[in-house]
Amino acid sequence: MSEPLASPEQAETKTRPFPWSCPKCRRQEVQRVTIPYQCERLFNGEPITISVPNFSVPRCGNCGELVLDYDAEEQINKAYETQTSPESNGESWGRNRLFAPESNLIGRIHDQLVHLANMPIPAAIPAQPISRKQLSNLIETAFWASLRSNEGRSTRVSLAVIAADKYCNALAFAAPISLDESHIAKLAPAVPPEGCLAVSGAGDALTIWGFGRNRPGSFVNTTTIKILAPGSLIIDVGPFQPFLVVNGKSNLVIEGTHINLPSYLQRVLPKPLPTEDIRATQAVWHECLAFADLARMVLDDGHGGMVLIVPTVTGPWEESLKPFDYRFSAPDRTIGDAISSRLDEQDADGKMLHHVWASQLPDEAKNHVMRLCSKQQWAAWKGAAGAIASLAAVDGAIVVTRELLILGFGAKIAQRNGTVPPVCFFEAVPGKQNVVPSSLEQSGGTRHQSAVRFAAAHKDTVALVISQDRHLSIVHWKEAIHSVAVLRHAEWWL
Amino acid sequence: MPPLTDPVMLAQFRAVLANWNYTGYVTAKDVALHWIANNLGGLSLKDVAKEMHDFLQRSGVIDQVPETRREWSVWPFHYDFRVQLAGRDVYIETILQDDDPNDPTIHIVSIHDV
Repeated sequence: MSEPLASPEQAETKTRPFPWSCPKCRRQEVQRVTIPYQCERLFNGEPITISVPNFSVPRCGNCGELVLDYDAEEQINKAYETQTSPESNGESWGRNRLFAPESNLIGRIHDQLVHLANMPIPAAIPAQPISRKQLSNLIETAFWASLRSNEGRSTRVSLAVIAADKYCNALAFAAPISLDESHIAKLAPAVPPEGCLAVSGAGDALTIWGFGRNRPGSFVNTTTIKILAPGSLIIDVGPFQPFLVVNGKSNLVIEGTHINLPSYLQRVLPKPLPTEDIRATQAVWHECLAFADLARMVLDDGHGGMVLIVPTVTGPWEESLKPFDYRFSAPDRTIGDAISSRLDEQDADGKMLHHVWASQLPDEAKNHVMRLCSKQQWAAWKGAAGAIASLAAVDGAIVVTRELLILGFGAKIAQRNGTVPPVCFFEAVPGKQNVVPSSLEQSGGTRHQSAVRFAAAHKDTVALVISQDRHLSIVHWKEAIHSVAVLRHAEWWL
Repeated sequence: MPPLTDPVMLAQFRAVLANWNYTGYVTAKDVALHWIANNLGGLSLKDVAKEMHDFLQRSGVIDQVPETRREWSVWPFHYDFRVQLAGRDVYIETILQDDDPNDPTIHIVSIHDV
């Protein structure tokens, strides 16, 4: 910051007598008046509203034009300092605060929560109301926690604002723990990957009251913050998952796009949804969910890796995978079979429920059976996907067909000298993005470059590339731009 | 842009800016004040006034531009400074309020990067 040019010793108090001439209407009617005043100033790069309730300022009595002098400026500066000082916030981060309650980012999330709370959706569970200041504290604390590590591992955990009576199966602590970055970093390893720390509070203070083994569903109108990596947060708001991504310096608002990884994969693979066969439609959709789960599991492992999705068990793509050290003698069908058998069970459950409902059983018994059947049990599929994900730790790619037949792992993409494939990069954010032809080197390291070459050579394949620092890229040929498209930061959609 | 060469007007600018240290001689429209606060790394209106003063002392050239905008048409001209502030080349658009030739003032109506 530059040093002010005027030194404090120069501050003298001589003032011009009123009335002054108005710069706007030129009438000699400018007098000092006291009015309430608000203006916008930047604080840590974010606009905040500064309020000066008793603003003493020269104003034209004829046209109302404000003529700001040094005194007026000093009043605004004092109000700014008061509103942004650590003392007024009561927090230690003070001027380093990144997510001030007045910031647009906090406002967007808060407004969305208020909007959801006012929507008459019977199925939605109202979450604990949260103020802008609480929201600001929560995100600020989560951000700083993301920069901490525990025994060499960076913090990776989710936090959800939810009352104990709205969160089934959560473990509550005997005494709540204050929400600060050190506690989050300490507790993070104890929370299962699918779970989250449960946060609630009264007044401005928030506490961690326990943790759950699963996350509150999207039907709970609450805020969930996933700490993904140092400086990287995903903020979900009710059904908008994600609603916003904090990624280093950029805060990307993604709300309302309803894009997620399974739907993106369904589009690019492509796996058309059969419109006349509901079971086949469900099967296709669950296969896309399984691909996303597989990517998530490789990401969680932290080894990095690549999943190559090929159209058929054999084909021209084999020419580019040399060596393919660990090709199975017969494709592994575990995930596909798990999906298929679960869909069969669902069919059977549906028929059984139809009979139960038509029977003379008491309503209580009928409801009990309903509840048992409505619990989706996808454990077999998840278990199978977990076993496949561990194959990514071996050097080389996992090769899988669009129908989830696992063909093997450890496949190396053969390097061929030839033309450099055209490549364009896109971000996992909503809205139209410019198509900017880029160089192959910009795609990343060897793994990314190999995936680009593979997708260019075999235009009906898709590569999921996961880096050790837990970034997911989706690489595929896009005919509309006649180029390989690399979708970066697809992990935001997980 | 024609440079301001009228010795009377120049003398008036010098007279106003000689009072840069006192409130009421160099004033600003609120948008200009907020731009200074948000973009000039902690500088104040007084700092800007002092730099304008120093600029004239260094024989800097003020541009005299006929006013064409309706909202400021009560003044025939606006006067533009191009100075360096906080390491940035900054354009300052002012009007000289000289209804009382013995007590002229400067009002900053706009300020932004050159």
